[in-house]
Amino acid sequence: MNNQPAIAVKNLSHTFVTEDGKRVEVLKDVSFTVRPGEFFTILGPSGCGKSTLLRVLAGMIKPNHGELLFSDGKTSERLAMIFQSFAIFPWLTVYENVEFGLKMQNVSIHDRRETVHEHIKEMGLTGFEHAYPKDLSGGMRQRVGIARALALNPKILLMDEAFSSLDAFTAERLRKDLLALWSKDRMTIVMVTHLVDEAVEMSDRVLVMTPRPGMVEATIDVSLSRPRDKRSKDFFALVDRANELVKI
Amino acid sequence: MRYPHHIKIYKKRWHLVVTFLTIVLPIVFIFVFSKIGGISAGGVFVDIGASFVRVIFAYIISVALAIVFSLLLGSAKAEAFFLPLFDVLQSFPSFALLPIFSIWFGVGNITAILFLVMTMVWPILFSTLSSLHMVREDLKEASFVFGAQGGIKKLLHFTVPVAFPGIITGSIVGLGEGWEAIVGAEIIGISPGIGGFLNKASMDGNIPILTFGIIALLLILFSMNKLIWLPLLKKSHDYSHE
Repeated sequence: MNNQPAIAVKNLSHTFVTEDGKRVEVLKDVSFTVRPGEFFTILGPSGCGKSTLLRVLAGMIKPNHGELLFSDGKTSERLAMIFQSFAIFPWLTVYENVEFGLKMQNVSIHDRRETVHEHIKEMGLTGFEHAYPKDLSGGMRQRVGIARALALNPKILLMDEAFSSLDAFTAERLRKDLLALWSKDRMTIVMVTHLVDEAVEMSDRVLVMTPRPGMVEATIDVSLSRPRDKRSKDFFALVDRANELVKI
Repeated sequence: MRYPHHIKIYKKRWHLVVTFLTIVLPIVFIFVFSKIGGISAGGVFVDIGASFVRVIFAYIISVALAIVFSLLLGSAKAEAFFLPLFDVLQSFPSFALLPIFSIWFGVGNITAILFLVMTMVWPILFSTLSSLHMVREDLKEASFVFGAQGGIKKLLHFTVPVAFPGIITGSIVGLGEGWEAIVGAEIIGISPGIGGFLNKASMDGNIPILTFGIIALLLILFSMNKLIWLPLLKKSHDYSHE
């Protein structure tokens, strides 16, 4: 077994300076490790800095203090992200959106065609290749977002409240689809959410954060067998425990 | 839901007919009316063509300048300095520069084109800048995560598509102002040109020819909009819509 963590975060702190010069401490001394192939969730109330933390992992924000190490170095080569607002490019078709990451990596047209079609099929988007995002429902748009991320065959997949702006049915369906894909590919997933149920349903471990400034409150091991029964006693017990830990 | 083309104007045979008519009708109109009015059709084409070429040249220069400026203004510092300056320049009436341009460059095409650029560049610049400013933060993040980082990749696959709607709306406004300006400048003296043609017809008191000139110009501008700007505008809604 490989004991080296997929992601190691050490003593991470970050302070924003607002436009009127106020300093807002968002993250304070956050440390944790994520194991390879693990489904790791960061849970916390809104404004606790969990999205900032995810953006630090994605390399978009350089933290003021602390260290971030991936198994392949300071930044991860194969990293992808799924967004709450989908963030698919409105000027590109479904096909071109899914293709985007591969194109940026200079994969040849010939090689990327197969990968793109495979992921379009996998996410149930066949027949919509040439549609623009504006012609798609929210659920379909997020499917494009997921396909775009998975087309890169990521080692690390970041998810920022990926199901929060979808209706309950669509969200449930997409969660199931994503878990099925994860059990097949076993990439390392870091998900950010404010929904306790979602965290317990999907993750191997849940990191609970405190309200601002975000610190690590606790880490919960979710050792329920998959697929998880959301109405079982054990499930409720874990949800209760997580709920107690989340302070608003 | 599925479009075979990116620019959706030839979806049906009907569109091809419309396209054909928008090109042919203004030309036929000019020929027929010149015949009836007893003036040289060639002369009308030279006048309209001269105005046309000036506007097109000035437009190409303006759009290139506007894009370069708006990319250079990417940093907050540069913008804090240049934006107020551009704002003053924008509100300055270009006609006020026409006399000095005429002394420096003569009453000819260089003066006309410079004067047109001074008129057209501002709407394109400001509208492009506002497109770049209003870009959604999440799209910026996604383009970063998925590798549109640094120089040319970011420019081609993120900045240009984001700026596109602004370039198009700016171009439409800019060309409108450009035509207004060139007709004015030609009435004052730059010739040949449609402005001079209209002015002469007015001096001669020839109302049918004057009406004919106005309608010919109208038809040509209508055709340009129908053939080029409407499809691009529609496309730009795709780019920005969500």
